[in-house]
This record gives sequence, structure tokens and C-alpha cells, in this order.
Amino acid sequence: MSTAPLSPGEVTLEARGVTVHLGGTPILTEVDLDLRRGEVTVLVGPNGAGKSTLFGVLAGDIAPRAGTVRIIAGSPAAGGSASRELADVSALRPKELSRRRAVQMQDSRLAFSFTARDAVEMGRAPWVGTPEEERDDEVIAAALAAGEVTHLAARQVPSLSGGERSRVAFARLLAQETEILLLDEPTAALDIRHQEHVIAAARARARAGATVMVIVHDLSLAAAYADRIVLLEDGRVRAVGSPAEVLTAELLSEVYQHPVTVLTAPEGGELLIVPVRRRPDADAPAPLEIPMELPA
Amino acid sequence: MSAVAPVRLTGTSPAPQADPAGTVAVHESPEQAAPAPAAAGHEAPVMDVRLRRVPWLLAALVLGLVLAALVSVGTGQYSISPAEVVAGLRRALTGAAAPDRATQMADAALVTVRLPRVLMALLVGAALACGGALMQGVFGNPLAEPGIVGVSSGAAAAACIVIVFGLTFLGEWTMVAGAFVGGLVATAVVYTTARQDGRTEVVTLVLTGIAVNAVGGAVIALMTFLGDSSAREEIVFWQLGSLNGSRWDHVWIVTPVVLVCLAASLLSARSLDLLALGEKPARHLGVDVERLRLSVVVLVALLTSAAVAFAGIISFVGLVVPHLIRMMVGPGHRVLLPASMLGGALLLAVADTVARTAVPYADLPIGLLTALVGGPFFFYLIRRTRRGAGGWS
Repeated sequence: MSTAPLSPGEVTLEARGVTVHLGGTPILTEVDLDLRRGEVTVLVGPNGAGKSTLFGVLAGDIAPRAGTVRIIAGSPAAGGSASRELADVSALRPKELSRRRAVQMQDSRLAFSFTARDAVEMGRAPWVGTPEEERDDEVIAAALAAGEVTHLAARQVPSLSGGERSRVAFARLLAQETEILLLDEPTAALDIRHQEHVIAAARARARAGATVMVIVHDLSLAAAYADRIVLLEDGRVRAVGSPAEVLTAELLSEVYQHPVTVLTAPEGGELLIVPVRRRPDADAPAPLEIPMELPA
Repeated sequence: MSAVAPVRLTGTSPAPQADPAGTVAVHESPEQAAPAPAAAGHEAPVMDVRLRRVPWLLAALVLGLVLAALVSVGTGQYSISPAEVVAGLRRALTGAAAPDRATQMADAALVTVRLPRVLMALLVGAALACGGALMQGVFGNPLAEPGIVGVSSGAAAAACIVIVFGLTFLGEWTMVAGAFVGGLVATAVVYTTARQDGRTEVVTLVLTGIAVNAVGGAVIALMTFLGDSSAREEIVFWQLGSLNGSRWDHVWIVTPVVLVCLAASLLSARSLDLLALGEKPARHLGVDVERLRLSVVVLVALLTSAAVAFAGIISFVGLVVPHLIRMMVGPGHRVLLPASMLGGALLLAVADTVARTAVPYADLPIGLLTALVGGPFFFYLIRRTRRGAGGWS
């Protein structure tokens, strides 16, 4: 089998004219979005902008009222041609979708006392009955290591902390080994080290040929690891582009309705997005200077 | 549609792309940096210790089951030793004549009374325990049990209607069919009202069970009121639950239903594991959740009604057995379901022996015994959750 030349930037998941109403309220309006192979796309926007709804539509959980979502049909190795066909997500069975895209939800609870290893092994379910099944142990071990949860493998998931459960869910996502990875706030419950680790590991998957989309709230984290940023506002795409193009103080201040400063890190040169913080008394006149000399 | 291949996490990916800066993070850890051969060489880092107990547990259950069945068949007002039981069974199978008159009597008691009763105990126990494990899996809640949530009482209510109105439109099968419809309606009501986002809160489930049990109880009460004295007697027997009066024709009706359902339930074991993640994550992993739910709900109703149709309400088996099995070998359904079937069969074989022998010349209702043991166990479960030791085990 010859390895097909990579076609970077090939669209693997596309949304066209996606409109979703929930309870009569428009949540998404005419959203177009392309996710490309080899890229990390980060979805940002204020609360209620429609991030999670768009995520649900891309994952195939929510059927849009109008518009289409199409997902790559063949595999990169099987086709060989630079461009492959896209298939409508709603036309695919759960099994077919599960070999194309993996999803990490915000909520990573588990109903029974499965161990962390069991939970990661569940990510291998789409490949049961294929030759890939033989690699299960190897892939599970690698996924546990990549999620930094190898030491928790024998622990029961309900006894883990929120952040640990979230990393187990990330390991399961990796174990699924799909071409498209969708992550809804994978860093929300994590400490700094694991935030960086998880996003970097997701980015490494993109560099290995996967398509990655992540929702994060931390704009500096988005700036550091995103190839492209999609900024949502009131159910519409407000801006798409590189971090430097989208994450400007002017645009963010307007969309988030809060003054924002964009700095450049002294080392590395990444963007740092910082809200302008005013203390409650900042508007008050400068405090009176109290003379420090004590009376004699 | 062309085959889909994974983007591999280990070894060589079909389409690697050089980006040293980006890949550093994943390769930080030594295990990850090791090439494929080493990865294949090192064992999966930690095995669930509970899984090591699986062969022992299954062997113990099968052994216990055989012993319990032999003892149960031999025990009663007319005692038969295990050796005589085996000899008698061989004669029954080969059609050989008994050597003397005493042995003839023993064989008659064995074949016409004891054997169908013990077989019913095994079938009903396996059906109830499997039904409980399935229901807990599909509700994502270890408190879901056909008796507690009212499926049993729905099935019993329908069976009472069959008794009182003397319905016979399906011949011998009318009772099972009636119980099935009642059980299915009750399951559907609980299922549609108690679930939220693919999970069921304990409180909601128990409250729904109270409501369904109340309606089922009211129907049973109404039927008791309407029925004549023989129907009343039969209805009382239902509510108590008993294997007394089990006949071979009952065994022939219940056996195919239960065996087919037990086999079918094993097919959904892996999907039920994934359902523990919640409905959406299970769908993301390829489970057709709608179809799974429908098939499991139908299986639970069938198993429960097959058990209830001739034995009446025997509660808590579906709660206690799967819970004990989970504590011993973990929650994976590929082990849990078959082990629960064996465990349930064992429990009822023992309970029925006790029911027949605890009080001389009296046949205690088996439902009374299981409730006597199961009730306190239910308390214990609730206390355990309230301690909040990280959820249900």
C-alpha cells in the first residue's frame, strides 16, 4: 500500500448555511465553517454565542433546521487522491460516523464503576471486528500516556476528580483514532500544566494528519495553539482567520463587551489576551496622600 | 463507500507530517516515546484486579447452581439423597423402570413435582436477575429494578385481569401474553417519565416506581374486588409470589421465552457498557442508542412477564444479584449479564428450598423471603449512595 501524499488544508468537515432554532429562538443563523486537515480550529465567543450548539451540529447530535454538514467519506490512505468526497452527516449511521470523528463532551461522567482503562478502551469500540482491533492494547497504553492518566488506569472513574475524569475522556478520544477530533472545553477543569498538555497533544494529532476543532474560553490558550480561530457572536460567524487576524483588542472588546488588551509575550511572541481590570474605586479621584512623617 | 482507516496514535500513521515543534508534547512521556515493538511488548499497564476473579466466580456459580439444584430436588417432605436423585434422573431420561415401590414413589415426586419446580426457580431467577441488570444498564442507574420501578406489578396487574375475566384467547399463553403487555406498558411509562438526558436520578426513579406500583396495586385491588373467591385466591398467590404448583407445561412455556431473551441480552452487552458514558457519548462511539433502548426495554418486559406469569411477584432479585456481581467483578456487561443469570438462578433455587423447608408442612411464599432479604439490602444501597463515595458502584 503506497502512502498517499498528504494534502494539507483539505476540508474534512464542512458546514453550510447552518441555522438552528431552539424553542423558537434562533441560536445559529447561516453559519458556514470549514475544518481542514492538519489544522487546529478553535471556536471562541461569549456565553450564548452558539458555540456548543454549533459543536453539536458538527458532531451530528443536533439536526439543523436549515443547511448541511458534510464529513469526509474515504480514508486518507485508501483513496490516494488529493480530494475525497464528502458525505452528509445525517445520512451516515452512528457506526460509520464513529470511525470518522471522535467527540469529547464537557460532561465526562460514567454511570458505573468502570476503571479508567475500561473507559479508555471504550474508545476502541468503533474498530471492533476490524483488523485494527489487534492494536487495542498498544493504542490504549499510548492514549493513557498521552492523557497523562497511565497511573490512574486501575482507578474507578467515579472516584476521580473532575480534571482527572476530563483527561480520561481525552485519552478515550485519542484511542478512537479518528481523522476528525471535536473537543468541547477539554481544558475547563484542568490545571495550567494539563491545559497546555491537552491542547498541545491535540495539536500534535493535527500535525499527524487529523482535523481538530476545540472550544476554549481562554483566549491566550486559543492564540497559542490555534491555526485558525472562529469567533462566534449571536449565532453568526463574526470573524475567521489566524490568531493575529481575529484576536485584536478592538474586535474582542466589541464582541465580549468588555475592554480587552492584547499583548505580545516577552518570550515566544505569542499573543496574550487580558481583560482590562478596573477596581471598583478606579474611577474615584486619586486617594489623598497621607503624609508619612510623624509629628515630632 | 470506501473503507475508513484510523489516523493512528501509535506506530506509523498513514499520513505523517513533520512538525517537530508540535509533536514534542505527546512524546514527552517515556512510554509514548517508545517505538511500536516496545509498546507491543509491555503489557497493558494495569489490569482491573476485579477481572481476575471472573473465572473463579463463574466456576463457583456453576458449581453452586448444580449443588443447589440437586439438594433442592431432593429436599422436601419426602427426602431423597443426591445419589438417588441422580439415579432417578437417569431412569427418567432413559425410561428405565424403578426397582421397587419406594423408588417408584420417589421418582414420581421427583419428576412430576420437584423437577418442574426447581427448573422454574432456575428460569425465573435467571430472568429476574438478567432483567434487573439490563434495566440498570439502560437507565444508567443501579437502583432500577423491575420490582421497584413497577414493571412486575404492571405485569401482575395484567395477569390478574386475565384471571378474573377468565381470558383464554391465546390458550396456555394468554397469561404470559397478558403479563407481557402489562409489563411493557409499565416499562414504557417509567422509561418515558423518569429519564432526563439519558440518565435517571435516583429520586425520580423511585418516585416513578411508587406511582406505577400504586396504579398497578389499584388494578390488582379492583380485580380482587371483582373476582370470585377462586380468582381471589389466585390473585393473592400472585402478590405473594410462589413457585408452588409449578407444572411441566409452565416450564415448556417459560423456557423458550427466557432462553431466547437471555441469549439476546448478551448481544447488547458491549453497547450497554458504552451507554454508561451517557447517550450522546455512546452514539459518538457508534451505538444506535434508539434501537438499543427499544430492544432492551422489550427484553426486560419479556423476561419480567415470563417470570411473573406463573411465579407471581418476586422482588429484589434483579437488584441484589447484579449489585453483588458488580462488587465482585466490576460493571462490564459482558461478565455482569451471564454472571447475574447464574447468580439469580442460584439465589432462587436456594430461596425456594428454604421456602419449602423452613416451616414444616408449610410452603412459604418465596416473594416474602426475597423481600425479607432484599428490603434491608435496599436500605443499605441507599445509605451507601448518600455517603457519596463517588457514585454507584
